[in-house]
Amino acid sequence: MRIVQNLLQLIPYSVYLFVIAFFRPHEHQLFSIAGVEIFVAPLIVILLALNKPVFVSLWFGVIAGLVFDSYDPSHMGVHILLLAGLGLATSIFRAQFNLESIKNRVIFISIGLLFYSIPYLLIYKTSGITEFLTGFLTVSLPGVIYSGIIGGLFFMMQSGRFSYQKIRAMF
Amino acid sequence: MDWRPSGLRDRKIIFHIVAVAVIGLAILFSGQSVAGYLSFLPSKIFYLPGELFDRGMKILTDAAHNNAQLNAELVSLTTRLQLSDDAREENRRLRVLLGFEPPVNYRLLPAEISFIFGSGIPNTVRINRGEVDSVRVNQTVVTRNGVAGRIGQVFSDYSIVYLLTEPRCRVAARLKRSREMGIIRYNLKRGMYLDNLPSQGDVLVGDTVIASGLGGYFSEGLILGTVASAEIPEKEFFYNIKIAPAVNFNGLDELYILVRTGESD
Repeated sequence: MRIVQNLLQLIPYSVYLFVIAFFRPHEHQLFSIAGVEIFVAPLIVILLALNKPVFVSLWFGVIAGLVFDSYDPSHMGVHILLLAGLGLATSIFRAQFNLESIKNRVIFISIGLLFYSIPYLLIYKTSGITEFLTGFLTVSLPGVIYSGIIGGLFFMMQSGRFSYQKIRAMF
Repeated sequence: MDWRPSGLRDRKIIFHIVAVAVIGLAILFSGQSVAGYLSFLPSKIFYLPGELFDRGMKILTDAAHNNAQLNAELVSLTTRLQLSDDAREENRRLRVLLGFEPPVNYRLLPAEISFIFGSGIPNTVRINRGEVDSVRVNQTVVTRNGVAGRIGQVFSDYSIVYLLTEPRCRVAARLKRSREMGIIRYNLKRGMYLDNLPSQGDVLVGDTVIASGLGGYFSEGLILGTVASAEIPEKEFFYNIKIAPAVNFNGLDELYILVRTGESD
């Protein structure tokens, strides 16, 4: 019975992993605005790490990184370390900040995404300082802002400030 | 006082961090074969919905592409069918026309209408035959049903035809049955009528009206129309005869010019 309960607890994590895997090949196509994409995997890791213990956040980052890198095994390990580090850092530092308000949470996840995007950019997209700065301004920063907005919407839905009924009431 | 954040105060977590770092670095520097093994299972399980989604999207995209292609083909085929219908209809008309014999010493010169003029009912048309085609002023223009009009003006490569509905186009006519004579005229108020036929004349509704050949422009025997109504107004000496023209002036398609054989081609 306990095994079944433990397995049931794994369902939400599996769903997150499926979402990461689903968006990985389609990140350029789905929800991309003028080439600006949502950082789905780090966003999910951060959102999970905000509510889970350090241990869970760390290992979820590892598994999420494994799933993410499985699409392109030539860089296998990079995202394991990046996302594990991101989950760990988020989980550790969340206690140092006041994350009661949605604004603070959005700023927090944006900083987390920014820290993720810099090594990501260095590894995958750039070969020089000029390219790095260009990539940072055209890929990372807009992506962080876009992902931050999505994270903000998630928090608003979580807190009930943004719901289907409210959207319906607007019209 | 411990400087570490609360999350790192547990020794176990330090162990996990070290373990993750070791595993991560080991995988990173392990090479492609290990990476291949590690990616096998996640790619088969977690990427399956994405693959199914891709397949579904490809099917939809292909279907949309095929749909667009078929629509374009449909439009093309419909247009071709319409043109084919038009050609079939033209063929039918030409077959009917084969039975039409031009008067002796005349040949038929087909002409296409390029412009139609006139308010209410057409009274003038421009055709694609001109002086270079041996077209001359006052030549008769016919359709398969009867006389349509005469050539009013000729230019080098086109001509203007005065239809019977043009007031300038009057025809010396006679009734085919009784040989009574009159003049075919047209005005907007009365329509087409046979003028100058004395009240003593023999006229019946339905009588065929043909060109008498006396005016000089139209050869004798060409059909102009039929008598639609005939009455003698009080204290008048002439019939008031309405004519139903043989030609439908609102449905003109092909015209033929009667060219006298022997006129230079």
